[in-house]
Amino acid sequence: MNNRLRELRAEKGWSQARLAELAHVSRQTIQALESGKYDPSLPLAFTLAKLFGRRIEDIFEP
Amino acid sequence: MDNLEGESAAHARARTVRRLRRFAIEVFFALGFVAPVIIAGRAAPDGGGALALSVAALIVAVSVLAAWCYFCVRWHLSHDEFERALEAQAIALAGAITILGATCIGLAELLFGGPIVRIVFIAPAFSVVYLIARLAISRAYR
Repeated sequence: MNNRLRELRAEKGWSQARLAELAHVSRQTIQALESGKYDPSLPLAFTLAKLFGRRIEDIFEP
Repeated sequence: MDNLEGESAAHARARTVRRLRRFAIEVFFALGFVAPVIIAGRAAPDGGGALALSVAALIVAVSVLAAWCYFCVRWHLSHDEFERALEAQAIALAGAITILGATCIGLAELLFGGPIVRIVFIAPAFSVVYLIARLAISRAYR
């Protein structure tokens, strides 16, 4: 699954560690998500969408 | 100067140190599981007697219990879904490898005869394979 996490994070000026802290996950999780090696659970996708003020489908695409 | 992830050089160094420390701890635990298996193997040679077998069984039981505790602690300490996904993958992979290995050994025993490996070692073998799989999977996602 493709996603725009890295791009949106850069827009916000957040580091991976900062995003991980805000989303209550590990930095390794953010790294895996951004590299497309791991697809998030629905609750985590909602959390990320809320943090970026976007809809899930604006961030993740199949 | 920040890197792509927005980390300073000091933070990156600290992260490397944390990784190395964690790796050392995991290697220590892995050796901790391998050692009882080797000791058990030596304690129960052919004709070693009932006492040696009891000692081997006890060491193996402790090894399995330690592995199970290790897994439970790691699982419950981590509330991160990705970490848990890695744990689940490692368990599944280790289970598959252990079953495949046991099947191969079983077939070899059928073909060549004689007990090659005691069946009691399947559980500690699983523990060891699990740790190796966990380390390998963790590094594959980096």
